[in-house]
Amino acid sequence: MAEKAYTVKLGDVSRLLGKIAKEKYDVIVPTTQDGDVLYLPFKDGMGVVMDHGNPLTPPKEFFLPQTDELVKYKKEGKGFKAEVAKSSLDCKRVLFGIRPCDVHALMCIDLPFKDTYDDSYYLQKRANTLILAMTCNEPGDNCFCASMGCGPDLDDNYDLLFTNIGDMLYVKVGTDEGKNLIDTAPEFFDEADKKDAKARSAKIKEVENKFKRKLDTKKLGRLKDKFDDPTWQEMADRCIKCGGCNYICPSCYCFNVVDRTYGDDGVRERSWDGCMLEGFTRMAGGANPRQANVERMKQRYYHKLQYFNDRYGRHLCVGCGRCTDVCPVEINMVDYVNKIIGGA
Amino acid sequence: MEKVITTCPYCGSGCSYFLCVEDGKVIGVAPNRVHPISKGRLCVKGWNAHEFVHHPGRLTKPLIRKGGNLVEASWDEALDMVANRLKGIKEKSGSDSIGVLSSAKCTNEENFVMMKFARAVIGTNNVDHCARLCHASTVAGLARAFGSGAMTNSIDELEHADVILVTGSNTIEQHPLIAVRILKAVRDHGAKLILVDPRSIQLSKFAVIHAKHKPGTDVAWINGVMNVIINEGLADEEFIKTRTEGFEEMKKLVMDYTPEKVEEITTIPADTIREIARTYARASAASIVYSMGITQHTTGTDNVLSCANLAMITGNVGKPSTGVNPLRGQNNVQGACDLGALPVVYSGYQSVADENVRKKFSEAWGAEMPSAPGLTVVEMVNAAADGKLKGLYIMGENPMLSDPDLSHVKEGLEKLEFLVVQDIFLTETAELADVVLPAESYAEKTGTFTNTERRVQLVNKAVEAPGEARPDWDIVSDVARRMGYDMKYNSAEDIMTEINKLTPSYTGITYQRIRENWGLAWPCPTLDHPGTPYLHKDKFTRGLGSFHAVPFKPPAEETDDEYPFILSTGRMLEHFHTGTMTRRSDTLDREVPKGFIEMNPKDADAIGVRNNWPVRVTTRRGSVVTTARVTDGIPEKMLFMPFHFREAAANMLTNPALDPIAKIPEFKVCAATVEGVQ
Ligand code: SF4
Ligand code: SF4
Ligand code: SF4
Repeated sequence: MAEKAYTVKLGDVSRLLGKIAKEKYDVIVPTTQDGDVLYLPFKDGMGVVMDHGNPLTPPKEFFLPQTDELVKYKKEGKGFKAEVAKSSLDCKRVLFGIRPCDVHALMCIDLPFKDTYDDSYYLQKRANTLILAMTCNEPGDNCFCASMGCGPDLDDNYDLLFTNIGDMLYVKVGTDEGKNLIDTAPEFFDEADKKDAKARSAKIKEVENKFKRKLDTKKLGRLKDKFDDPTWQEMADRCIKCGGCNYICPSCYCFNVVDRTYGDDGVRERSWDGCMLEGFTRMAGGANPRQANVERMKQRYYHKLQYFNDRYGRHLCVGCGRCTDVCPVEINMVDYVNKIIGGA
Repeated sequence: MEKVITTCPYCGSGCSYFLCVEDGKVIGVAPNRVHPISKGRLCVKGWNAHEFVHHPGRLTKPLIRKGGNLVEASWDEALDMVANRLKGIKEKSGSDSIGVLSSAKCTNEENFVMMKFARAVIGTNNVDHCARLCHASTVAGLARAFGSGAMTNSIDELEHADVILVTGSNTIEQHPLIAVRILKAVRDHGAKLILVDPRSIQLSKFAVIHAKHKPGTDVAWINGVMNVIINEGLADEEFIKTRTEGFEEMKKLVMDYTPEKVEEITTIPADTIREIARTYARASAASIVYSMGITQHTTGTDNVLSCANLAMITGNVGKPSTGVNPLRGQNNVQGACDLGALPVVYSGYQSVADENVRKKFSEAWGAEMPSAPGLTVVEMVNAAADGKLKGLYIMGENPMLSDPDLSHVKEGLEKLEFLVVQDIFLTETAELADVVLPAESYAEKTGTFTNTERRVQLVNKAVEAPGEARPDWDIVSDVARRMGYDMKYNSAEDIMTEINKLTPSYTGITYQRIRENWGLAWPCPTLDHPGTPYLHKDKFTRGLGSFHAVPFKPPAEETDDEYPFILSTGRMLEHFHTGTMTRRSDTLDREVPKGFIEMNPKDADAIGVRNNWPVRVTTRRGSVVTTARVTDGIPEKMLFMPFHFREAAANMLTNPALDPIAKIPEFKVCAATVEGVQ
């Protein structure tokens, strides 16, 4: 890929995105609403938040929404006529400001979603979305992407990669599509020089030293002998079974499918599901292999940090820290896992 | 994709989140990290609070009963029928032959309009709502003791209490985002949790003391604890002297309740009573948290007065992280009370018995104000069964599952000349109606809810209503107009302006201010008043705090040879109230798809039943078949049943006996028997 790098003035970002939006792209940006930072479709005059911590709701919602229509059906004669729901994404989408951890999370979801079967609903949205990622300058209190090898920098799987180096963004190009995007609005881009490249490296270094939490990943192999560690029970005793740690996780991809019938019409929808919920593994007769909450707690952690790795060669946790942020009873993933594996 | 900030329609914690909207549908929920209560966290109900909104069962057109069936009708036809029938009953049998049930699920504005409808249009004080069934005794008891029937402190203060006494509240299941403050206080700040509850609940694991009392003996154990506090010199003499009255009389009574005597009544060991007394009284900031385990008794008001006694005797009121904190069940049960959906008060607890108050409302509303106190929820059902109540207008309530002794409720509702039910789904109650009016859900309208800490918060419209559904306030004012009363509002905010004018405690609460401040806690008497996080700071609302000497009285129905079990009813984490919304939410209903009854393994053995086997539960009111959940978390000879499930309706069994003051029924104790079924 082109080695060339660019810079964009901070003050120009809104106008740049505005121009991209006019080029038939749906542009999604981090912005502030009601006091919190969220990903929302870009509108003219919208403030784009550049130096934010990561939004709590991950960009997963644009690929695997909490509720997604799969099939519409209609009664016809004695039977039903089904029609695959049109993907809501009929034009190209640009996701601006997505963080390295969340790009890694999409790479995680890609694996099972193109394993035995292609999940076209998800993959179509993936294929139609340009990733304009941005490295983090301020890791959050619970972030540990560096421990998981998922940040603060990003090596690939982006179209463009931005780094805030003061009054400008440093731009790395990852794909031809990314380069094409630059070509549609060349007036906003300057070629980066050595000084800029140095500023970028310095910034990344600086951020690497800012992490308050580290998961002792070298010792994760010990988990397989820790199935009966009493800490799991301690965590389960505290858990209020909200499911939030599943829902908010950028790499959790389990879903449930339900049919809703309105008179003669109906829709088949899928919606986020989670292994922390008791109904997730309950069988028709009522038997449940993970009846006790402690079994579910273990399932989540082992899937994140052992089983997925056994199958796909990478962990299903990217260290974004959201499951800790969102946990009403503050079950801190790093603290508890380190405790279990005897880590630092 | 759009995100609309709003307030959770489930429990009284008052969490906030964004509803995610795509193509005019709510497709999900996103938490907000800056909201002062939820702080980016939610319970499982909040996370799935979008699921029922587009449920196929939503009511989309008015329904009228024709030839025994409910059939679709136009709004004009339905509303004219409601107006004419109510007018006819009013003319023929008088205003007081009509009753109105307002709703703890609806907004403040809608409750205000409904109580105005009852008083100014119908001309009766027969207006009540299901607060009667959960915290009527709190409103009555705390008003007598302190002068104000609400949570004395704010939710966040719990985190900094050094002792928290939780009784009659399964806080993790019923008020999850309040419970997490308790867990945090214990783990991170070393607070001591005292739990008094007959069952083992999740909180038990975090308690330094868990006393399991016999259901219905709350007054006795609290008197016992106070006996020890007085005898061991742990009372706050200074506080008692300067801030309260009636202490001596109470002390005289309490002297009889020695720990040993209390052990006999409650089964709590005498030494545990002592330990509770010492732990609670020695704290520098001790907070009492209670809920329906205290209130839903024929002695509910007595129980609440006892909690107030205990707080006052140790000076634990009027300071941060102390107080008596009733956790209100529904999203807006506090607000429905505040706005006067009660038979004896207008908004802001202004009494209908007070001539000046009546004059004020009569002038504002241009109508004569009735002075006789109205009927309460259960009394309305009784009056209907007796043929005295002829018309009933129910907004967003479901007595056919929520009220005690359902066969009797059904008999009452069927005897009515005219029943109109306004709701978002065809509830068990709506199935009996003559007219059913389709209303908007919380996702479709704007308004305010008041959470359990008295914080008034905004609900914002996220999507259009299905079909022809309309906001409750709009429907009620339309009926009023058709009955010849000029009631017109352009928006919910318009109604709030009228509330501001007529309600001193809400005067400073405007939409703009609550939008900017994440709500405001009443009392908020002026536009620049910052709101009131904790009550009774230097002075009780009523002046001096009032002690009450409360003798122990047994429950209305005690066990005997024929009905040897104590049956208690309650709620659970995944479902809400009569399940109208949660049972139509796929995720929540999958979590707990059917009703059950908890029983001790020894009792299960004795009747030859195992976990998950069907059992029949019978009381003097009726009989229900459900599934046994065998657990040693429940003591022998006690049964517990959640009331959310229509297929196994716990309220077929409950005793409609009432607390004489608050008129709350005794949901927590009745005598039952249980057997296996083939
Ligand atoms: S498990 Fe937690 S830290 Fe890891 S990716 Fe998921 S939310 Fe982030
Ligand atoms: S977020 Fe915390 S409380 Fe909720 S399910 Fe996960 S671990 Fe349990
Ligand atoms: S704790 Fe209560 S208010 Fe908060 S999300 Fe759960 S039900 Fe809603």
